Amino acid sequence: MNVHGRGLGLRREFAAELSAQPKRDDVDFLEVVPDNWMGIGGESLETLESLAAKYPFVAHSLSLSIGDAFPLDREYLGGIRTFLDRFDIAIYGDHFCISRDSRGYLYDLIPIPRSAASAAFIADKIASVQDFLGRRVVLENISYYYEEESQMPEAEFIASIIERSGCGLLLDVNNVYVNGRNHGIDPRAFLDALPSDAVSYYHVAGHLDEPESEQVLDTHGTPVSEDVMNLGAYAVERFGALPIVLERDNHVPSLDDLCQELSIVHGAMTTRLLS
Amino acid sequence: MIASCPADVQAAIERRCAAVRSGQLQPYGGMLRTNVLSVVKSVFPRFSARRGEKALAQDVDDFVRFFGAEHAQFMHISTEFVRFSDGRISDVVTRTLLEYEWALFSVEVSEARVVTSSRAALQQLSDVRLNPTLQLIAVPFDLNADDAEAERMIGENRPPFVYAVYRTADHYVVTKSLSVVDITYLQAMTGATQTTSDDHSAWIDDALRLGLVVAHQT
Repeated sequence: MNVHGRGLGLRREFAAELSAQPKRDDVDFLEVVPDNWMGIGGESLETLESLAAKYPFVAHSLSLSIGDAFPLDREYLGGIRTFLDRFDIAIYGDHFCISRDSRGYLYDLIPIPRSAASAAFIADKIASVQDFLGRRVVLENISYYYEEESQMPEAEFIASIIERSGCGLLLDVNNVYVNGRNHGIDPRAFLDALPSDAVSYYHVAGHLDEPESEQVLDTHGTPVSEDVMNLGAYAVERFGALPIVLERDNHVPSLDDLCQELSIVHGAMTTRLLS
Repeated sequence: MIASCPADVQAAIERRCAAVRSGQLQPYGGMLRTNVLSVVKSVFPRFSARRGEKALAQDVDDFVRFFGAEHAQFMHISTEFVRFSDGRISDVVTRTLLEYEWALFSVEVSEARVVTSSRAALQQLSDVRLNPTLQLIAVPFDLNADDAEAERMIGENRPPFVYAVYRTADHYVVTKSLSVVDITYLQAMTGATQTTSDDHSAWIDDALRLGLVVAHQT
């Protein structure tokens, strides 16, 4: 099932409340993290089934670990495929990141060492994932707090993988902003360096920007900033009025406040293009 | 067929992940430990209180630093933490609390469907089955006891306290202390023993009401 318009990143903090309400007019679809729902039953499954009856889903996982050095985790991917089929989900993605080393899983999104060699290897892995799932994979640019000067620029790295694998980009506007601030990159130049047809949908979220901190942190714990909304509007002008998902993981406000913020952010990003 | 990862790429990945595990690469090392600690405290509250802040922080640091987690999903951090803790915790009360709270978590998320059952819907007594989420646990102290009382009970070398942990059709996770009669009937349902008691019907009524057993679905 395809999606459009305003999406909300589904979180446990408000899942039961949302499932108990009639379909909301201010939310068009939900983005579900399969890692948090697949392979479990009980009340969680009942809630998810109730939500699936009201909203289309997109799926955005955390542990594909596409950038690691190992063969794909077929057991994990099998669980993902079952989940996607069960809830009729057409759009599935994860992150451009590493979550596993030779010891095992790390439960974190670690930046990939960026080089032509790693891009080629990852593109092959993505193609294999797409074959296995029978779907185009949509990968997100992550925020990163570690950089090596000798690395390939991130936009060039992502563009190279997209070109080789045919995957889509889940453009996280907040991550572009945070990385721009932390690493001295012009965020608009970053967007300009990506293929204009690369993006499948957008993420927006809040970040922590404290004067005493050396870095801006991608916390998903504050409202979306004006700067991020302006950058999002620029992204919409370049890549089109695609679906927008608001993420919130910390200090989650009331469901009504969150949905109101989603409408404000969606309006701010799309008004210029549509007017 | 995916070509193997170039050696220099593989080495770079290992270096980067090792720096995260050791805590050298910040803020990753710190955020990862914070996230794992948060999951452990949330899923295992009694264990965490008993273990204490300092020991728990050391557990989490060792978990991140040395342990090879097999499950990809973040929601299985708690399961991996239990695997990591196997053989590591010598205190019986602390270890028992971890095992009990993991049983609670497993039952809560079990994929098994629990149906609402009533005595009236039963054609015959043999149509009952164990609740599909049921876990039986035997522990060396009363789970309602506080830590000091639990330690005293362990010292008394009492017979184990047996509990049923299961989820009801309306999603409540129940911990039920089992009597010798309960255990006898439950064993009979698994074919381990035979029962001929006239009280069987009354016990079934009670067990259906509690959700310990359910009507067999054809």
